[in-house]
Amino acid sequence: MAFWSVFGTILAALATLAIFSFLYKDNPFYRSAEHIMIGLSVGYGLGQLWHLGFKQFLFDPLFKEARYELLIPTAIGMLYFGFVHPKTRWLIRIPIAILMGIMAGFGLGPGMQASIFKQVQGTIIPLFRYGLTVGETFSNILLIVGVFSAIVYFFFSWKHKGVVGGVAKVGIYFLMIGFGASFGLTVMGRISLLIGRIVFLFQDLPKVLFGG
Amino acid sequence: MKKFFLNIVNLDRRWIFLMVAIVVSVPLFIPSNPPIVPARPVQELYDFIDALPEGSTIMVCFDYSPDSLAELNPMGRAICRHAFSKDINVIGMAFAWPSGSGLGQEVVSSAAKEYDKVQGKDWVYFGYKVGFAQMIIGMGKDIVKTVQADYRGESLKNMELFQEVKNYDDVSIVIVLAAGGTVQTYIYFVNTMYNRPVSAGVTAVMAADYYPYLQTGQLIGLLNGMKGAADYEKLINIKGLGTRGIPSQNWAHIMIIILIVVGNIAYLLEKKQTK
Amino acid sequence: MKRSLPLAIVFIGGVVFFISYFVPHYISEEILQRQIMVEWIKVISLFAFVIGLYSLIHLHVNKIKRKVDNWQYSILTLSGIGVMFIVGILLPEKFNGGIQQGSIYDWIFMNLQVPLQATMFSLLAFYITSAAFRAFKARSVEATCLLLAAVVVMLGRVPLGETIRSITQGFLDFPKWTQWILDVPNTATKRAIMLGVALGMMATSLKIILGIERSWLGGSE
Repeated sequence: MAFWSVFGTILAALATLAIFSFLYKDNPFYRSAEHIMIGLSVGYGLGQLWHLGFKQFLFDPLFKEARYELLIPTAIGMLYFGFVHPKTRWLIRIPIAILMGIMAGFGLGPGMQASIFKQVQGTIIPLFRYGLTVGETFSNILLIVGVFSAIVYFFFSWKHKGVVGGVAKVGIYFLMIGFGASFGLTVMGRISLLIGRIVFLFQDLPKVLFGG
Repeated sequence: MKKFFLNIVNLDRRWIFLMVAIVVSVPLFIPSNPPIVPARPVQELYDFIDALPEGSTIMVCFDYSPDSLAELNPMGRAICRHAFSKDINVIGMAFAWPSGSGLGQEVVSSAAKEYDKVQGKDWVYFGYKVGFAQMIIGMGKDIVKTVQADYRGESLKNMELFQEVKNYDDVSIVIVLAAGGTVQTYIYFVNTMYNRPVSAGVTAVMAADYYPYLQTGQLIGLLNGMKGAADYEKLINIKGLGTRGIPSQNWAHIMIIILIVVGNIAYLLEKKQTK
Repeated sequence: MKRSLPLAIVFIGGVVFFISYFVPHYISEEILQRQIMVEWIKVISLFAFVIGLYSLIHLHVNKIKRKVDNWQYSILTLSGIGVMFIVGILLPEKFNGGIQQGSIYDWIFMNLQVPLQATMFSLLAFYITSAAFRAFKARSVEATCLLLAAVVVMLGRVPLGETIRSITQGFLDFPKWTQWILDVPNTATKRAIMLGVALGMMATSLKIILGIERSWLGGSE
């Protein structure tokens, strides 16, 4: 077991270095690693799909619990195989239509509530109230102005001239600050991913190889 | 000096790559204890879990694949360890991506092992299931009927945990660790449709997009990237990958800011020269 | 038939399930939502993945058959799929087959797929640094706003921000400014974008249900 653990860690280190080699220039080690990754990733999904999908949700209920009503979605699902021949290709539209219709219809209600009503409600906030500090009042005003002006910026039915143009300009500044925050966090996120690999190479790998 | 700034912008990018590698690696060899002050949204989630009574149940969703492991795995570990240390049951799952399945299993089972927790009684791991949104909607009505079996293929019907936990009403909070847009699906269905608390731990890249949900209370707390993980680790007093990575993160940010300043000086000099 | 049947299904499914969300009745909750939406759709979705797999295998087999540039790498991709298929599905559990912790499948995932995928994405750290150095310039007032916000957030999210706060006794409080930027201007802009996206999604959903948006049907047949 220890052997497989050490061997696995060495393999992981080699895989890491093969991908990093791309930083110098494109090379066969990188390309091989990249293609192996795609294959393993799909193969991994296949294993999950078989054991936790087909077996648990179709074969076991169908053959062990005799839930024959599942033959209906099975038949519908098999229409996907119409894809392989040009004459039957249109059949694939039926399962897609069922999935799209149901999810588009069912998702409308909670989507409106969560992403529109609740967000509008969150923007209707007190500007002046007993107990609110000057800073909080200022932030609340900025939040309302920011939402409104950014919406105006994305509203293209009116020309961005005069008052509309002015408000849209304010919107641009808010958007730039928002995008700046996103960029700062993106830098942070990308560096974190690298740290994960460097910690593996310089801290976890020596621990497995040399103990400690 | 002027020549230096004008030439530096044409530097081969591989020198910059080398600088990044050095700046991220060297701090790992220097013992340091940088100050980590937990951000407010992290504290909110910690307080929520900490206030839960013994025997409560939380759900942790591992909606990510190995590419975001460095940011989200430490969050999962910290949350599971916090929950187990307070005798809170954990239900783990990875409905969004098949490749999150193995990662979540390792995180939940290793934390459970540390606190001698029993599978089926104190924790359960569902793994990946096909039909992401349908599973989330279905669990609001009946978890056992919807999910049917755990990662090992064992039926949930006879598990001790599911004699008590029937649907979201018996789950104190659903915590989504996500590298994609799946948090929104939980907000739509778990929070909006079933009116249950949802929290999230997300990659730093997408964290800024979730602040509107935080302000409306649709999310209780938000863990933002590796710093979010480090904050949570600080609160439960452990040194995981989040904390170990912070010194490197610190120096990498300093280097990038210096590079941006240098780049801008070169740009201004170049502009002045062309005038 | 080839177009009208799918359009009719989308319309009926959309309208019925939209109404079912608001109607707390046995038919809507037990039959429509639990039986059809959850149980049946799970089964239908399973087959969609098979098609995805078929397409990928077909693509790589064709590359090998036609010996297109770099066709050799396609053998590696197909081998990856094949190995995982054998150890995850065909190999019995007594020989460490299956997908459980400790299986060969899990070992390959942890020691090969995880490092490969994690490292692949970590390369972005190098490219974003290079891009920040070359392209992140204060060319205008708007670009300066973006740059300043990014720098404040970068400082406020690492211990250096805390150190500066201590040294300046709270005068330069980057962590607090970062939280404020995220809570106020960032929330405002992301909310504005979210409202636009949500309204767009609602409109698209309605257009699909009503059969106005038909691009998902594919070709002209």
